[in-house]
Amino acid sequence: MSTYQYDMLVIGSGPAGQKAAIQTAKLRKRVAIVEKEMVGGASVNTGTLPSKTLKDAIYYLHGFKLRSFTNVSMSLKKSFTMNDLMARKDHVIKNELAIVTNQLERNDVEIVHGSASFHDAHTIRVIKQHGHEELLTAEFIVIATGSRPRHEPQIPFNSANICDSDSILSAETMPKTMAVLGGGVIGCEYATMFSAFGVKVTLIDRRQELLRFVDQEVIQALIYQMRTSGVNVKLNEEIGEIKLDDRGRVVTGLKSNKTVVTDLLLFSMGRASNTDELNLGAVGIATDKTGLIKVNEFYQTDVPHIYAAGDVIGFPGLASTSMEQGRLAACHAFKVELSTLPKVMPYGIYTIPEISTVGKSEEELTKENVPYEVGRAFYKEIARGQIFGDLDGLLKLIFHRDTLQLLGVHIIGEGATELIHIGQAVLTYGGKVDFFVHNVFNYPTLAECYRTAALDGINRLGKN
Amino acid sequence: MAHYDMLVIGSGPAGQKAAIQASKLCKRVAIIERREEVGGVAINTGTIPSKSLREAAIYLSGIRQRTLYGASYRVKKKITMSDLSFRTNHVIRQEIEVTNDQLARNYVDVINGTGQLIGKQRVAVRQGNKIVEHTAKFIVIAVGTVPARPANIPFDESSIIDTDGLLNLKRLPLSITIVGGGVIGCEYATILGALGLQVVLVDKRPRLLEFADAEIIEALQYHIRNNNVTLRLGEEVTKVTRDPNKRVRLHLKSGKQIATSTLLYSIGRQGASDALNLKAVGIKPDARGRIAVNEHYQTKVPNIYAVGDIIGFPALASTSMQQGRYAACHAFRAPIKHEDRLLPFGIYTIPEISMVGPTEQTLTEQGVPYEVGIARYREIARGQLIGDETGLLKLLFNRKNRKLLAVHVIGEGATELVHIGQAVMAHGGKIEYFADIVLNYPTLAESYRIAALAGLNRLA
Repeated sequence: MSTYQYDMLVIGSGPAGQKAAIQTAKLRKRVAIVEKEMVGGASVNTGTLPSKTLKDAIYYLHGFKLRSFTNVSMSLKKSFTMNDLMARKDHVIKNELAIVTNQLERNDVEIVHGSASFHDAHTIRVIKQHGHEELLTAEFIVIATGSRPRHEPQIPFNSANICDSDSILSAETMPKTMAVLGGGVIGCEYATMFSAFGVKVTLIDRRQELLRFVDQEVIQALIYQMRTSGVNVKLNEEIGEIKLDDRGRVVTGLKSNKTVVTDLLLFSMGRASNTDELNLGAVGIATDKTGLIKVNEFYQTDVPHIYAAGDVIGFPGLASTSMEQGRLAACHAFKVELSTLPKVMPYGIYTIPEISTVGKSEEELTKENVPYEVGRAFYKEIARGQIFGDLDGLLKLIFHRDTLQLLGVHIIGEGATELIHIGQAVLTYGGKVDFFVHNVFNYPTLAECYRTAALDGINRLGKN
Repeated sequence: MAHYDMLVIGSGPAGQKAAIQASKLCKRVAIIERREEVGGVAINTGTIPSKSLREAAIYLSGIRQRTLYGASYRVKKKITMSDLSFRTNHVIRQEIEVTNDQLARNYVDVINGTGQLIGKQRVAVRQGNKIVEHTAKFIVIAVGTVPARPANIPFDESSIIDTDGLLNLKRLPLSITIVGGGVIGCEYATILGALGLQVVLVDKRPRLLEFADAEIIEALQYHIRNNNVTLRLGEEVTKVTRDPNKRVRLHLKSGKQIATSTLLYSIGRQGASDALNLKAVGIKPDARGRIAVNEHYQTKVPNIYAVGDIIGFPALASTSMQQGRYAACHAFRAPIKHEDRLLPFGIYTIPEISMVGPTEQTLTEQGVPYEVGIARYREIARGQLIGDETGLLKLLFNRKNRKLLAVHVIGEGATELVHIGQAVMAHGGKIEYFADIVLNYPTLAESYRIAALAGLNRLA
C-alpha cells in the first residue's frame, strides 16, 4: 500500500489534464485534478472551442457567398451582431463544460479547486479560496497547466482594441480594420476568420514563410487565398513602435518604416507556458525563457515521476495532441502497454479554408532523399466541391515512387480536418496509394478527392 | 464512319470512367450521347441536381442553425423555386464543363445522337435524320435508367410528376405527396420538408430503406416526422384521381385517402435500353429493361459490356464509375483489383445516412458474435459547434477478434465520415485502432473514438 494520498495528481484540467486523469481512473487508481480557474482549461474557456465556434458562425455566413447566395450573405451579416456570436459561443461552451464535468464525475476523478505549487517532489501545496492551504501527496504528478497568450512589454495592451487572443473574444463591436501580429496557427485562424466576415485585415510576420511545419504548397495556397480575399499579408517585417492615434486607432510601426493604421490590433506572437506559479525550483525542474518544460519521449520531466503534457511543453500545442500526451503520460506511469501501430499524428488548422496534414511534407522527403511522387485533386474537379462552392480546395497525396506506399496527405479546403483521417488510417496501416483507386467512395463526397489524386499520381509514374 | 478500340454508349458516370480509362490505356475511344449535354442522369436530372437542391434547402432554410438560434430561425422567409434552381443550374453547368474538359483532355470523342446496335462491333448513330455508322472492337453499354411510369398514374408534368419533373416545376407547391420510400423518395421528402412544404411519404413496406440498419432508419423516421413529413408506411396506392378543383386524390388500399396539390411518383426506374436494338446482337433485357452481366460486366456477347444503372443494383454513381473503369481494364487486359467487399452507401437525406459493412440484422442472422459502440454527436465538441445534436455513429465489431465489421452513421457529414471506417476495415483493422489514435479536435471524426471506447467498455 502506497503511502501517498493519491496515485496521481494532475495540475490543470484542460485536454491534457483531463485525459491523463481519466486514463488513470480507468486503471482504478486514485486521482485528482487541481484546477485554479474553470474546469476545461484554455481549450474550452478561451481558446480552441470559442475560436472554433466563432469560425463556424462566420463560415456559415461565408458559406452563402460560396454557394452564390451573395445577397443573403450580405443581409444576414448586417443583422448579425457580436452579441449573436457571443451568445452562440456561450451556448457551446456551456454544453461542452457539462460534458467534461460529467465525464470526470463518471470516472470518479476528484476535482480540487485552488492554485497548485510544488512543496516537494511528491507533495503539492494547494491554496484554496480565502487562503486556505492544503498539502496533497501523490506517487506521480502530471503538470498540465497549459499556456496563455505571450505578452511583450512594448505592446500597450488595453483589452479594448489592443488585444491578445483571449481578450479579443470579449470585443464588443466588430472592427472595420484589423492588424494581426504573428502568423502562427492562431494568427492565421483569426486573420482569415475576420476577413471572411468582411474586416480588412493586415497580417504581419517576421519570417518569410508561415507555418513551416506544414507542406509549403498548401501554405502558399493559403497565402494566395488570403490575399485574394483581401488580407494584406506582410512577411519579413519586424515590429517597431505601437501606439494609439488621437482618434483612438492603433498605429503599428514597422522597422522597415511602414505604418499600418487599424481599428484593432491582435498580438498573436506565441504563447507562454503557465509555469511561474508552480515553484518548479523546489523540485529542480528547469524551464526556458517562455516557461516551457523539457520532457523526454515519455513526457517525463527531469524528475522521472513528474510528467508534463499539453501546451506547457510547447509544440504543437493542439488540443488533440495534448489529449494524447496526457493519456500517454498516464499509461507510462502505470506501465500500460501501448498499441504497436505507429502513431500518425494529424494536424488541423482551422483557418478559412481549413488546413490539415498527416505524414511527411514534400520538404521533409526531399531532405531525406526519398523518391516520392505527388498526386493532386482540386475540389473544383469533384462534384461535391461544386455543390459546396469550394472551388479552391486541394488534396495532395505523397507516395513512394517504387513501393507506392503512402507517405503524406495534405489538404486545404472545406472539411480538411475531417477528411484527413481517411488518409491517416491508410498511413497507419502502411497502405499504398492504389488503395484509393480500388475502393469505392460515396458520390458526391469530398472523399472522392482521394481517388482523383491517387489516379493523378499513378499516371505520373509513367508506367502505363 | 470511324473505327474505335472502344465505343461507349451513354456519358453518365459509368460511361465517362470507362472511356477515360480506355483512353489512359492509349486506346481510341468515343462516347455516344443522345442528350445535348454529357453527364447522363447523374449530372442532368438525378444525383447532382438533387444534391444541389439539398444544399440550397439546408442553407436557405437555416435548418442546421436552429439548435443554436431557436426553432423559429429562418434565413429566408419565402423560399422560391427560382432561389433553388438558380443554384442547381449553376452547379449543373459547372459539372458539364468539368466533364467536357476531362473528356477533351483525354482525347475522348463525343458523338451526339442515339446509338443503336447493328452488329457485335457496329453501332449506328442517329442524329435527326442523319445516320452514321461506327465500328469498335469493344462496346460498353452505359445508357442508365429513366423513371418508371406505370400506365395507371395520369402523369401531367405539373401536378402529377416523376423525379425528373420535380426539377422543372415553376413554383414550389404547398403540399406534396411522394409515393415510394426508396432512396430517391426519402431524399426528396426530407429536402422538401426542410423547405417547409407539407409532405406525405407513402410506401408499401413497413419500414423505409430496408437494406440499411434498423436503428439508423428508426432514427431517420423520427427525424423525418419531426420535419413536416407524414409517413404512411405499409400502405398501397390503388387509384389516383383528380378532384374538380384540380387537387390530386390518392386512394389507399386501407380505405384512407390523401388529397394533395402535387403527387411525386418515385417507384422504380426502368432501364433505358429500348432504343439500343439489343435483339440485333441477341441480348434480351429483363422486364424492367435491365441487362444481365457476368462478374466482369460482360453481357452474353463477350465484347459487349454493360455497366451502371442499366445492370441494376446498387445503381449508385459511385459504383457505376468503378464498374466503368473495371470494364475498360478488363477489355484491354490491364490489371485492376476490384474491392467490392466494402461497398459504402450514401443516402443524402436530411440528416445524411451512410454505411459500410453489414447491418446488425444481417450479423444476427449470420450468428456473428458482435458488439456495438455508439457515439452521439452531442457528446463531441464538433457536434455542439455545428448544432447537430442528433447525429449518431455506430461501430459494429467482432467480440472475439475485435475486428471492425461495419460503420453506420446518421447525421451531418455521414457520407464523408464513413470512409475513415472503410479504410480501417479494408486493412483488417480492429476496434482498438480508434481508441489509440489521435484525431483532430474538434471534428466529427472524434465520434469514432467515443464509439470505440463505448464498445470496448461493453466487453468487460
